[in-house]
Amino acid sequence: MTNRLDGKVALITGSGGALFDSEFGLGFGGSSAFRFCQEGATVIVSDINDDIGQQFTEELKEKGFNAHYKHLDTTNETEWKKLLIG
Amino acid sequence: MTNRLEGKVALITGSGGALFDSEFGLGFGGSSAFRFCQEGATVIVSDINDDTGQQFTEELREKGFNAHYKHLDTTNETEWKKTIDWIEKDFGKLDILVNNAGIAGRNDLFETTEPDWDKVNDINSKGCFLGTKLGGILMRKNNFGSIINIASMFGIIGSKASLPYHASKGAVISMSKAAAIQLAPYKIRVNSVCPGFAATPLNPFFRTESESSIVVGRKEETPLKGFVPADQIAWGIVYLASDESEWVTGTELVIDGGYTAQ
Amino acid sequence: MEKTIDWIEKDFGKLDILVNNAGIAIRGHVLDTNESDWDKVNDINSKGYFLGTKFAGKLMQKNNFGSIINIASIYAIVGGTLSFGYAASKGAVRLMSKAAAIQLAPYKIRVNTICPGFAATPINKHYRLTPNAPEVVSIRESIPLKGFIPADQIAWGVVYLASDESEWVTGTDLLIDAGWIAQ
Repeated sequence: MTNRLDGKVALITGSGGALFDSEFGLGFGGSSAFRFCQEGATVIVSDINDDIGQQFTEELKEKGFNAHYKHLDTTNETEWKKLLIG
Repeated sequence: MTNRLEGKVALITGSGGALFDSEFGLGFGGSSAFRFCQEGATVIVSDINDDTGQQFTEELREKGFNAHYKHLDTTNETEWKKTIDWIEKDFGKLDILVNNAGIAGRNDLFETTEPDWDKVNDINSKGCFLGTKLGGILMRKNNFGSIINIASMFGIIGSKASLPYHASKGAVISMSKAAAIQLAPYKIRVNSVCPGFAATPLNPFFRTESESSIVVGRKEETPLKGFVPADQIAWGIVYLASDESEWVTGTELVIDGGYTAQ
Repeated sequence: MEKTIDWIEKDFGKLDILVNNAGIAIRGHVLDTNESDWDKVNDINSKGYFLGTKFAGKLMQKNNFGSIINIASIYAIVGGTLSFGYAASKGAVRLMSKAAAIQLAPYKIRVNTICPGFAATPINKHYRLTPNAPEVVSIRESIPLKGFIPADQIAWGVVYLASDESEWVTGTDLLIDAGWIAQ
């Protein structure tokens, strides 16, 4: 664990589709969320799969990381707007 | 300080041309040598400027790093052979080779002579070929290696700058891709780095003539408005040298402040 | 279940990094691609990235700082036999990243694309389920490093582009493809 992303806040879309022990492993989003956490970032996991997304975020938190979950359908402008700028 | 290159042996050509407190700072090679050391590598600094090269290596050792100096004229195959033999004997292997030694060229096409062409292409292009070949021969014994060739954004686009320089850097990008395919069976990766306008010892006028229209223009033409620090190139090289890029080969990493995207 | 849509600025005060990663793969020859397939893949893979870039850009602009990383594909660069709408969506990502890089440079917001090659991810579970199927074998054999790329390799590329180590990298593509495009 190093600190290449210390103090940074990061949002990763489509990062809640799998768990650490999922049969086919983590995808690009989940793997990035994990490495970002290791590098010291505050990570916002987002997805449309809320159940798995929340569970994955829990797994990150259990490892002591600063992770949060938000629902986000990336094709919906209203959701983006609410999530980012209120 | 972390350990992204722990246990790795690295040779960086043209990395002994400047000292930490040199007027124009470290170049790509020297900056890479420093970051490689910080990341835990054993670093072999090489250059034709033996005085400065040895002094720079001393500076690295004084910081507690595992650095060594070796004279190497990259245009000379015999010197390459000697250097690689010495590395095998003294270090047992070579994990990383940074073909960084390079020069700029005369700008005016109609003033450019055959010797001008030969000099730029010998150092920038042939030197890179010889390193890839001889370094590759040693890396092949281990089925492992990462070769990073320093090209330029002028290997991708054209400009009013030196024509032989453009040609030599285009050759570097292209030969890196060919080498990537040819060395993939031995798990040797080959990539190039394409810096944009950078304030290095090779371009002292970026600092000495900072008010001139050419220098101001180059800064303004770069979307991020400025010159790329050598240290940024060093970090790109660290990424390509480390196992974080184990599946990256045959590509070019462009570090140019957005210049070629426009 | 209640959808927790919130306000990142309120909760975290800023946003430094956005990874536009959400995407789908729809395979299909141009002659078999219908309008609804086209719309779906382009909505998620392309329009979703535009919206993310726009709204994250607005928040990042307040700080004059940010790094946006868009996940595209090798099919943003070359064509293939079995992808059409997907290739269009990924090509769009690559060029919108360059346009955004130029337009957001005044605010020191960097925008780059990662182009992964054939990767062993949950989206491509058939690479693991049927490793000996002729189609999977022929893809693997076509890759110079002879294997499928681990998702973690993409993650490290994203870390590099997110970190200050790449402060001067913008508007470019990072290929993580085991040499596939180079041949």
